[in-house]
Amino acid sequence: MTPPVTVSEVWKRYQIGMVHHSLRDALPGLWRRMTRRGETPETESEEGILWALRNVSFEVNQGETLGIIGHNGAGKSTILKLLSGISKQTKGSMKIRGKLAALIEVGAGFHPDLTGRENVFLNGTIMGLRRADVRQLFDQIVEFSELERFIDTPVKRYSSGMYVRLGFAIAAHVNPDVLLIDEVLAVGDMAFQQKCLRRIDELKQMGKTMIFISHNLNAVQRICDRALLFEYGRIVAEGHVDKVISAYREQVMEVERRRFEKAQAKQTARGDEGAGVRIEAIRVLDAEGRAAETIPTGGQVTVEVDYACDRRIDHPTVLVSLDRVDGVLCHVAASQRDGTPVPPLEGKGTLSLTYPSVPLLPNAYRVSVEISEEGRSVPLDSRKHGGFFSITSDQFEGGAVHLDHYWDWEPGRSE
Amino acid sequence: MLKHLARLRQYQDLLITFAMRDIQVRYKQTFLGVAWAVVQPLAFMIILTTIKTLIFKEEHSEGAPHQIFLYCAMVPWMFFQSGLNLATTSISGNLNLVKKIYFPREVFPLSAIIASSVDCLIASGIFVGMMLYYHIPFTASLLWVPVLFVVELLFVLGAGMFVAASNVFYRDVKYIIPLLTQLLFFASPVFYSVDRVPEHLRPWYLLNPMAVIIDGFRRAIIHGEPPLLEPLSVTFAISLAGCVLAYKYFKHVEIKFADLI
Repeated sequence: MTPPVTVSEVWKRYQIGMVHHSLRDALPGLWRRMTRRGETPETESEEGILWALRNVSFEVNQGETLGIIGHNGAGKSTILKLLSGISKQTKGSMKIRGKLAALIEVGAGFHPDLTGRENVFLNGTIMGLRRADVRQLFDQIVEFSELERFIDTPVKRYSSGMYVRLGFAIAAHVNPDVLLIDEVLAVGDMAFQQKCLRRIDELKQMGKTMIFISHNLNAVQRICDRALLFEYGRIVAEGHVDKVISAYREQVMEVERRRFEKAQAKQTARGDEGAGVRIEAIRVLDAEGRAAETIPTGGQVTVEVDYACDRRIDHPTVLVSLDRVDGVLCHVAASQRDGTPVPPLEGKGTLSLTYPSVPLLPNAYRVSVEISEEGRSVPLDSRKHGGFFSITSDQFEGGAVHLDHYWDWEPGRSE
Repeated sequence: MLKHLARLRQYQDLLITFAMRDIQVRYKQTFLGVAWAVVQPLAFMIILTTIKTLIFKEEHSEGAPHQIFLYCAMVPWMFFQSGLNLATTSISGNLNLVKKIYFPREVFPLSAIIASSVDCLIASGIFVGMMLYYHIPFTASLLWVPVLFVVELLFVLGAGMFVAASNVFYRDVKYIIPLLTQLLFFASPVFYSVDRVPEHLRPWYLLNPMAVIIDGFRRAIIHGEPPLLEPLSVTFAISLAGCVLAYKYFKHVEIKFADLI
């Protein structure tokens, strides 16, 4: 049996700029094309053209969930558009066996003036259901969305969360052979996100073939068996989801490092507000005291802060926080709360904070520092994301931190 | 083409739902509701009747009261006009759906036209009352009415699919269409009789499908006689060919909509 989804050697070209929406714009272009015919068309046609996909091939097997990850503009959404038939590839071929439904933007088909009930029918038929099917699924959909009380209210009066809930509820009950899911979990509250993930698990157990596109790596890791990493329209990594995600993390770290260095170069010329102290530099050091780029999970990290004072600061307090590049705050150390009073600061000097063992898992992290004075609510100086380091590990673990663990089992016993 | 039609059949429920949406949305939050479908042609009929009696001092049109003479034209004309107008922006106005979800795109203009035809049917209900009031006999010629309706539907579908697709590429279409319909309004026997058209120009005049259709409605309803058969067959041929060509063109360019809209 052929796999449900086969994509072979697909290219997709977009024209950027130069799109004519009125005849007045189009006529000069037509004239130009007619008069310049024969004059090096190849070089001219290359400008204003974007190859969103370059020679992409992959298959999705029956019952498999494939994740697609990559930076914005890497071609993820384009591939979904082609698969769902919204747009057509420039070169190459794609085959889909069975009925396909795309959960591309929940609620895209809603009409604001219609009630929730009317929109369930509208959206359900847009997704390829018959009205009779919708009628049959109606109660289930409403129950899933938890919108029983509002089902006869026009959706224009819904909150955005309610909108999404109804949209996902419909899509999750369409029951196609192949389901495409694009970044739908980014919306809705935590409880509803969990509910969506559970529904996706259910669909998985029912043996549905799914393609899942998301920036939420944890969700991808949880749901997908296999993944593809896209970059500039090409597949740059594919295989087991864990392997592909760590390849993506490396990419992200590289991008973040470049962004950090750029920001650093800009920051050096920053003026002094005259609050009394300036943070001159932040360094991240490893166990050997060398400036660290990468540190293994469980290794030692020291943050050094150079400062320069214009006056004596009798009761300084220092705050150092670590956050992961996706915005998760990992740790905050405050000298005050730690009960280690910082001695009065005067002139120039260096403060340091050591984490003897950092259990964070591979990713890029940023260091922010604040120096304050007791009794003042505003910090004297602060440097958000003033330091940067990445963690690597040769073992694979999921989640945010390393926890010591061991397995134990006794054959033949169960209760 | 048959392949496309088979595919469209799978989406017939969507077509119905969309048409229902268009109808529901049109009259939501209006006080008169569906009555608007009747009020519009009725208002036009009253305005034109007043002009005819007060300014042109005509006592009757083709021997019939102005009211029914004009209403016979208003109903098919309004169907043509509103169907075409709604179809024009039916794709470009549904940007979200076109970019996000796939289904046969002809669903957009088709449902817009179906929704207009429902308005037309509601407005037609008045005829019964009018015929009784003006003592116009019910004859077997009334059987021509559904035939004429189908011919007009074909004509509107062809034109509608063509303008809907063109408007995605060139938004100028949106401005050209009201101009052209205005022009066609004067080139169709809405407020005058076909008899007023000079004899030697009439064969040319009757190449306009709307002229043949409106005249046909008048003959069938008011005069109890069949439409002009020869022009009607030509109109039918034009409408059918137009419909087929427009559908082919539509399916040919459909795939570019999402990239261009």
